[in-house]
Amino acid sequence: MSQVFHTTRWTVVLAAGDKDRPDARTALETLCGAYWYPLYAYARRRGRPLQEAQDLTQAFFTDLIEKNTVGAADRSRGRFRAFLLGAFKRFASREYERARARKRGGGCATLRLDFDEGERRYALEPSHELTPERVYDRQWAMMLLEGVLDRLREEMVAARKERLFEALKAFLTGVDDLPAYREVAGQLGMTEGAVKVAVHRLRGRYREILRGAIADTVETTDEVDREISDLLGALRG
Amino acid sequence: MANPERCSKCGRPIPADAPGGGCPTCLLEAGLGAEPDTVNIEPPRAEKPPFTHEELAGAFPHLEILELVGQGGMGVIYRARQRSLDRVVALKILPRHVAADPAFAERFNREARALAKLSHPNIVYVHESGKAGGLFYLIMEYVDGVNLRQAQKAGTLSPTQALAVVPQICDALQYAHDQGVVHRDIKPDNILLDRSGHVKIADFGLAKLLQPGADEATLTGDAQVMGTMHYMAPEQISKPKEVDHRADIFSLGVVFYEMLTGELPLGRFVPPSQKVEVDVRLDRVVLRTLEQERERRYQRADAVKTAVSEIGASPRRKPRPCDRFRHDERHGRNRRDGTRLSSMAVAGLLCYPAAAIVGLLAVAFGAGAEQAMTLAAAVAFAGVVLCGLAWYSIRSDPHNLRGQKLAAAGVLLPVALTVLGFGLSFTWFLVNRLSGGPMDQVWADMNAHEIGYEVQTLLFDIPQNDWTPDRERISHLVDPNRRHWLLSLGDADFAELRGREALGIALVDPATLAAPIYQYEFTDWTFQDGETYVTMVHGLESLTFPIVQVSGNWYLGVGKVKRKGAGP
Repeated sequence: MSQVFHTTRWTVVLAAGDKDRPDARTALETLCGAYWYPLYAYARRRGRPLQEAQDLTQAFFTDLIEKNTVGAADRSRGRFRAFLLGAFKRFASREYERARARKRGGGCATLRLDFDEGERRYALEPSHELTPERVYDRQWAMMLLEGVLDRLREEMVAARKERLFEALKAFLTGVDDLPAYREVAGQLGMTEGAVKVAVHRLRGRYREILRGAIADTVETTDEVDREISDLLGALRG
Repeated sequence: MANPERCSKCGRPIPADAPGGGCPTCLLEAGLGAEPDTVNIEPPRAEKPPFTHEELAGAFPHLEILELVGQGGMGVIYRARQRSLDRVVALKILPRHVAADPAFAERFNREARALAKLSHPNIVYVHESGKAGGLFYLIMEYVDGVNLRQAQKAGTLSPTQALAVVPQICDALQYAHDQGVVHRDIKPDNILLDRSGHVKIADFGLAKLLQPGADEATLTGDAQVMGTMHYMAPEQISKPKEVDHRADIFSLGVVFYEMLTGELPLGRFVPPSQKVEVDVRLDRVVLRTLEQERERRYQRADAVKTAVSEIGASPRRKPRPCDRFRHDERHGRNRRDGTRLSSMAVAGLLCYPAAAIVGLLAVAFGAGAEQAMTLAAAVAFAGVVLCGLAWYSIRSDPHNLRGQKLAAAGVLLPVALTVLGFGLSFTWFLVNRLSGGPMDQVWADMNAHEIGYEVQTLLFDIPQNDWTPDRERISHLVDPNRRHWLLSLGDADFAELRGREALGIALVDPATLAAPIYQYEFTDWTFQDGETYVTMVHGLESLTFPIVQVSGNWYLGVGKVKRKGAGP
C-alpha cells in the first residue's frame, strides 16, 4: 500500500486514461485483489447461485483488467468503491453472456480469487434484511479493516512484536480501560506507562495505514474522512 | 446471531465476521478526524488512598492528617498539622515494599541524616524522619503552591519566568552538591513553586535511597524509572555506579529546554531559539548542559546560573539565519567566521543549480544559445570562486570539517564534470572519425552544406525491421515529394527511455504502411532542393532533421542542425 498519499492508487488508474501505463494496471490489480469479495457478496445477495456468482465475479475482473475499461471511460469516476459496483452492475446486466462465451473459448483468469474463502465468509454474513448494495458497502468496510489489521500485524511481526500486537490490538478501537492496561502490563511484564505508550504508537500507525488504504480508493486525500463516514453509515445499518 | 458479544466501547454487537475480532465501527471511527491527543505517560493514580485513616492516626499520633496531596512511585504525601508546633507540614510515606528490604532501614537512616543537613531556601527542608507502624516516613516543610509540571500544564509559565526559575534551581543544586548530595531525579514534578514564585526542590537523594539498584534497571523496569527516564543523564543509564553531580546538571538542562520550548529534547532536537522566541545566546547554555559527555557540560551548577544571569543582564539578541550552522560547532574558536565561511561554501554550491536555471530562463526569454551558455557559465564560475575562497580560508580549521567538506565539494564538482564532459566529447569524436560508419556517408550524400545547413551530429539510422503496425497511434502523412510517412504518437517503452516528447517518424510503403518508427515531436515539413527536412521539437529545442537516402537505405538525420545562411 502506498505510503505517499499524493498519488493514490485510484488516481493512478484514473490518470492512465488511454495511455497504456503498466503501473496503472498493477494498481488496478492490487485494488481489485483487495476488494473483490464485497462484489461477490453483492452477487450472492442478489440471489445468484454459488457457481454463477463465482463465474460472474471472475469474468468481471478479467474483463476489467484485460480490457482496461476504466481508462476508456470518462475520468470523473469518483471513488473506487462506487466505480466498481457501477461497473459490475453494467457488466452483470449486459456483458455476462458474452463474457461467458469468451471464457469457454479459453480466456484466462487475471486475478486469482479464492472463492472457497469467499463462500466461508459469506456464510458468516448475518441473515438480515440488508439490500445487496448495503451488503456490498458493509463488506467493503470489513475488507478494508481486515487488510489494514493484517498489514499492521505484518509490520509488528517483522519487528518481532507479535505478542505485543496480539495483546494490544483490543485497544485499537479506542477503549481506554485502566484495569485492562494493568492486566496487559502484568501479562507482558511491562509497566502500565509503557503499555500506554505502546498502545499510543500502535494506534498512530494503525491510523496511518487505515487512512492510507482509504486514500488508495478515492480521488483526492481530502475525501478520506467522507469515505470513513460513509462506511460508518453502512456498518451502522 | 452467532456471536452475541458486544463492543465495550459503543455497546454494539460485534459481528461474527468482524476483522480481528474487534468492533468494526469503533475501528473505523479510530481513523476519523484529527490526531488523537498524546497519552499521559505518568503512572496512573490508584483509585483509593493507600492508607486508612485509622492506620495513619495510629502511626502518627502527633500529626493531624489534613489531606492527601500527592501519590507516586516515590510514596504518598499528605498535608498534615504537627500538633505540638501547630505548623503545617508535608508527610511523605515511602512505599510499603521498601520495608521488606532488611538493608533499607540502615540506608534510610544514613541518607535521611544527610538530607536533614540540607538547609537552603530553595530546598524543601526535612524536619524529621523515621519508621512508624512499619512505615518509613519523612516529615518535611510544606510548600503551598504547585510543581513545575502543573505550572507547565496550566500554561502559566512563560520563557521569561523560566529564566527566573533556573538560577534558583542552580543555587539549590550547587548547595547540595557542595554538601556531597546528588539529587539524581531532577524533573518538573520535583521542582515546587510556592505562591510567591520561590523555587523549592523536593526529594533530594530519594531516587538513590529508594532505588539503589534501579539505576541498573532496564527501560521497561520500574514505572518510576520509566516515567523520569527522559530527564536522566546518559551515564545514569549506561554507568549508574559512576553518577556524580553532573547528572543533575544534565537533568536541569532537560527541564530548562522543556520550560523554554514545551518539549523534551529528544533525538535530534533543535536549539530552543529555533522553536520559540528566546534569546539565541540561551541555546549555547542549554545545549552545553545537555552534552552527552559530562566532561563537556558545565562542571558546576553555579556556572549555569552565571551564564543565564549574564544573558538576562545584557540586551537580547535575536536569532540569525546562520545560527543554525553554529549548533554543531559549539567549540570552534572563530565560530562566527567559520559559520560565515560555511555559508559562503553553501552559497557557492547553490550557484550550480542557479546556473542551470539562469541558462534555461535566458533561453525562455529568447536569448541565443551562446548568450545563455555564457550567462550560465558566469554564474557557475562565481560558484567555483566562492567555494574556492571558502575552502582556502577554513582549510586548516579543525572545528569546521563540515564547511571544509562543503567547500571542497563545491570546487571539485565542476572540475569533475568538466573533465567528464571533455572525455565524452573526445571519445565521441574519435569514434566518429575512426569508424567511417554510416554517418560519414550521410554527411557526404545529403548535400546539406549546399542548401544552407550544417549537420553537426547524426545519431542513428532507421532500421528496417523494428515496426509495430498499430494504426491507432500513427498519423499518416504525405510529404511534398509524395512519399508516405508514418508519425507515431509514441511508443510506451521508448517514451520511458527518451522522455515524454518521444514521437516516431518513418518512411513507409504506401501499400502496406509498414516501416520503422522514430521518436520526436513533429511540427513541420520543409522541402528544398530535392531534400526533405522535418522540424521537430524536443524539449525547449527546435530541431530540423534531414531525411536522406544513402545506397538504398533511408536515414533520419537526428541531431543539431545549425543554420548557416538564408535557410528554408
